[in-house]
Amino acid sequence: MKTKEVTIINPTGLHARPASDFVKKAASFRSAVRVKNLTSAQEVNAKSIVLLLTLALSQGTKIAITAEGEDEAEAVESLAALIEGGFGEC
Amino acid sequence: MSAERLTGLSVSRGIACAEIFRFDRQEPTAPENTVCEAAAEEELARARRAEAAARGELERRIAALDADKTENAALFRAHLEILDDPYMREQVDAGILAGKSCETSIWDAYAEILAVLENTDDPVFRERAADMKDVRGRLLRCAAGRPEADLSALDRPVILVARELAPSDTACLPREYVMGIATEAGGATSHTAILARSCGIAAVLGVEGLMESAVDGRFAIVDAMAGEVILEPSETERAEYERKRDEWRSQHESDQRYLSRRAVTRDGVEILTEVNLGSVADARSQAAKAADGAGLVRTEFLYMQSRSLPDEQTQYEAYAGILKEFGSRPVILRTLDIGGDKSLSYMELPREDNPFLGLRALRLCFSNEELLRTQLRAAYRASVHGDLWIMFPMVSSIQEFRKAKQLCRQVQQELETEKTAFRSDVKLGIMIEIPSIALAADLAAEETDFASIGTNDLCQYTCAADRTNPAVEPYYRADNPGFLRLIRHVADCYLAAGKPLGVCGEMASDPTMAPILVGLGIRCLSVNAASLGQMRRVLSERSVSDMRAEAEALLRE
Repeated sequence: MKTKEVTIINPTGLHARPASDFVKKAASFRSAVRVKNLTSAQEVNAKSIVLLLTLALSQGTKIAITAEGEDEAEAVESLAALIEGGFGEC
Repeated sequence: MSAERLTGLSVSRGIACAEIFRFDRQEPTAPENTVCEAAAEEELARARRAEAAARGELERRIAALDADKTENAALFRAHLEILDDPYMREQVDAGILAGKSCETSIWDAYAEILAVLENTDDPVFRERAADMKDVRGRLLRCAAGRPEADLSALDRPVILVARELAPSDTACLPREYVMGIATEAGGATSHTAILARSCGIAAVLGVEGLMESAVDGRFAIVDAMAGEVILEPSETERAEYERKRDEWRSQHESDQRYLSRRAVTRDGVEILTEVNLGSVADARSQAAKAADGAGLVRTEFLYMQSRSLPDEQTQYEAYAGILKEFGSRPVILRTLDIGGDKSLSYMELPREDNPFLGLRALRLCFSNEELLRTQLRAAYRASVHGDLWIMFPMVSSIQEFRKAKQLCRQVQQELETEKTAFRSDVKLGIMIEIPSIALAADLAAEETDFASIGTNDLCQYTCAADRTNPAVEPYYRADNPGFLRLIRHVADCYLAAGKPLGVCGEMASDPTMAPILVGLGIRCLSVNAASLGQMRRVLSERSVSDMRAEAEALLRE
């Protein structure tokens, strides 16, 4: 199991297009991937856009990305990089 | 039986008299039926079939919208993602295996998420909740095997009445049969409003109580001059409105003939008449093709119609599209003007006691410089396609203009380094809508390449009357002599400096006030597309000396 903590930096947060980009990326890995909102301590399946939206991840929120499975290291790294890249908004 | 009159917001002028066509999208209700476990396999298969049918509908929509080059396919893509969400499918299946029917399982799975989304004030959540309901409705309808309601089957002249029209509904609207549109929801910048204007369909939106009173097949009138919907009018009323409609049509047709001429006054002075644009589609209208330029491109449309911040490429394509339509005619792009009475659903703006005096427009962009940088990069890249002018809104002092100009220089350097083509002669100017910069117009005229007076805000700030507060409407007066003197001062300064100055507020589109502006020394008016023909006629029928005398008189009233 691999985990990494990152902060959401793009102005619109993890809604709409950025959320959709994130879920698509998560779904491309075989590992089970979860996202935790470190403020509310809620954790959900990162491959579900619907659940991800319920986490209300806005700019400045800290999250933990956890993956478990054969490609867990790659999954965590590339999803964290996506968040840190700001989704082309900044 | 007497007629019922309902009021709303006129978003596209005209008068329509025809029978009502009610376009009801039924809000589904919780299904009652449950099934025994023996039928679970069959229910699971039904759920998959409903999903497949819903997916097919959404994919066809997306393909049609993509082919049409409209921006709204994003909505259906979002719906497709919800439909294919692994968690939602899991929940539906779990419900069925626990003995619920396919319909009840779908209903309950969505209800669980809706309860979370609807339990907040966050507009982003409410929008997503609306999406979830939309997808649930589609799934339940598909499960019942019912086809999608479709407007393309209309075969007679009607007034289209609905709670709200979705982009998917208007995409297949048979324009020759829709005489008028009335809806309960929607405002001046809604998708429906833009469509109605571009097709010249009379439309009144935001009509409260409409769906309760409108009966399918009964006669009605949409008076989009007065902002009224008249249900079941008497014979006399009907005749009266049909006469009014014909009068309006013939006046409108004669105004439209002025589209092919320029606005030259009786004493031979040419007044530039440009149009305000609120979308790429606006740039293709008949009026836009005839205008002397685009005096105001409200770039907010890109931000407001979208569900997330539009990226550089999206903006570039929109600006390039407009510039190409205008060719060698100038296009004035106003940088993002949100805050005040305009907000974005996906971006939280600070709550303020006085939003009109707050962190809006250029000020907001300075506090979030990336917003402006992205927009400027897109604009400069697009500049190679035409004659681009960039205008900054809400400037209160020349320092703010210098700061914005500095940012433009940085963007130009970036593009140079990247070897991206752009035009280095893009004009930079300001909106004059704050009294402090209007009073210092001599300084502004020296440093800026051009300016445009935003009369809506300049009037509210000068008269200290909130233009959105009906209680102070009597104080918000475009003929206030102090306000008119301020405009004259700005006009004098820009004339002395030999720099272009226009007016792009509502006042420029008002046939009684536009001549006053010309009388005060304004030689360029940017008007709503629907008013261009009328404005050219009004100006052609008068002389500058008469308009000057009229303005002089008002300055002393």
